[in-house]
Amino acid sequence: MADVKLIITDRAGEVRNVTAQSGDVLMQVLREHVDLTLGTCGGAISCGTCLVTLSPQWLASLPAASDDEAEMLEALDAGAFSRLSCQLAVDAAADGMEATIAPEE
Amino acid sequence: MATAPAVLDRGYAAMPIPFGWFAVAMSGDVAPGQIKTLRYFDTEFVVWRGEDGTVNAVDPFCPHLGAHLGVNSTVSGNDLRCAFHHWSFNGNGGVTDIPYSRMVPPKLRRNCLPTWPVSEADGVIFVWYHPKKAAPKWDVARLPECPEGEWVLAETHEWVINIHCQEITENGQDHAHFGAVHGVSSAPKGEFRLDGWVRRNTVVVEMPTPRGPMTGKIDVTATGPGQSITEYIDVTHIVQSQQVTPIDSQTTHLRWQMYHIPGLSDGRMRVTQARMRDLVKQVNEDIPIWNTKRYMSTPLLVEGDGPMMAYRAQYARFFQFDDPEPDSQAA
Repeated sequence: MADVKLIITDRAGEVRNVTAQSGDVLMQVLREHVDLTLGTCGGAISCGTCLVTLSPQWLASLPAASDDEAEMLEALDAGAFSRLSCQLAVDAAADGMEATIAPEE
Repeated sequence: MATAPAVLDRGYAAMPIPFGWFAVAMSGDVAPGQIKTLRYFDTEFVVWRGEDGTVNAVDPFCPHLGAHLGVNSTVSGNDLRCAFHHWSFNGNGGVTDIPYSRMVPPKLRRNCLPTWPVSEADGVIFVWYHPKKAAPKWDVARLPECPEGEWVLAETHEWVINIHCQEITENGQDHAHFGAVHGVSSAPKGEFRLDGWVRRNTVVVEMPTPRGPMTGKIDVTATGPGQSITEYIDVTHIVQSQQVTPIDSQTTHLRWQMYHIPGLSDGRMRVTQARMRDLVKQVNEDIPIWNTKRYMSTPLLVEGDGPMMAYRAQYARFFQFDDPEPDSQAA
């Protein structure tokens, strides 16, 4: 299991370095290291509280959103670089990349 | 009401419940804004009537955190609002409002809560029951056209009987019981036809009257296992709309609505009312036997018993839960 280093900005604007393992679900990484309350629905694409904004290179390396996720992103009026972290697995391509946890509404 | 001792197995508990449209309430039982929890088909479900007059039926537990949707819930517009967190649901089982959330997630806006097909016809609310939730295979049958004006609803009756619903409608094919139980001459042979999901019996009778014999016709149209509409045309003209609804495989809710043509003279009205009384009396004569008999999968039938086995062979379609084809045949 390879270490993947991520640069995460939380909702308060604080930046921290987080080390994940390749294959981890990003939402779980954020819950463990940053904010335990993220993702109230547990990954069912029905709450939108795990929304993150990613650096463009990280975004480009990821598989496209499923129809369910795409529908949710639209309903949230999410910006162009946003994804639901419950649907993303961390891999080597994410090493050194940045993500920002979307603010609560 | 006489019941069999609990230790005897009368054979109905093991029988499946047939699929079909079944009456679950009279229209007046569910007013706009009213919610009811109903127990049929060995399960329960929740119905409500919205502001727009439509009756909806859903599974009883809220998909959010499991509250019973029939308890302290309210109708909000056309939707049902759960008491627990005030989530609102429409008749398609989609969430329409979550008061504390900025939006309803797209996934929850559709098929979130399982629904039951509902059809309201001639003052009766029907739901479609199928154990595998297959879509309705036919439409609810309507009253025949009234030859003059509108049918007059004269009486309604209901009974709860401790037997599987198949036996109630089989009773009409049991020719030999009419003499013994009801003291009338055994049902004359008539035509017995199948047309897809519909069974038709037409019987022509010679009836003795003080003015000499007259010919009467009895036309029975059974649509699925749950509905039977009988038209009596002789000196009276009566339509008897019957629904049998399984509460479980050993208990049946029987409902009758009795109609007659409008504008009857006093004399004909008296005959009509006497006929209706007689028909109700016949059900009450059947009930002690229904409540205590056991199911006979291989009855010892003899000549004159009537086409009960043919009826059962046709009725078996309603237990074929994996997409059978309807067929037409006469017997």
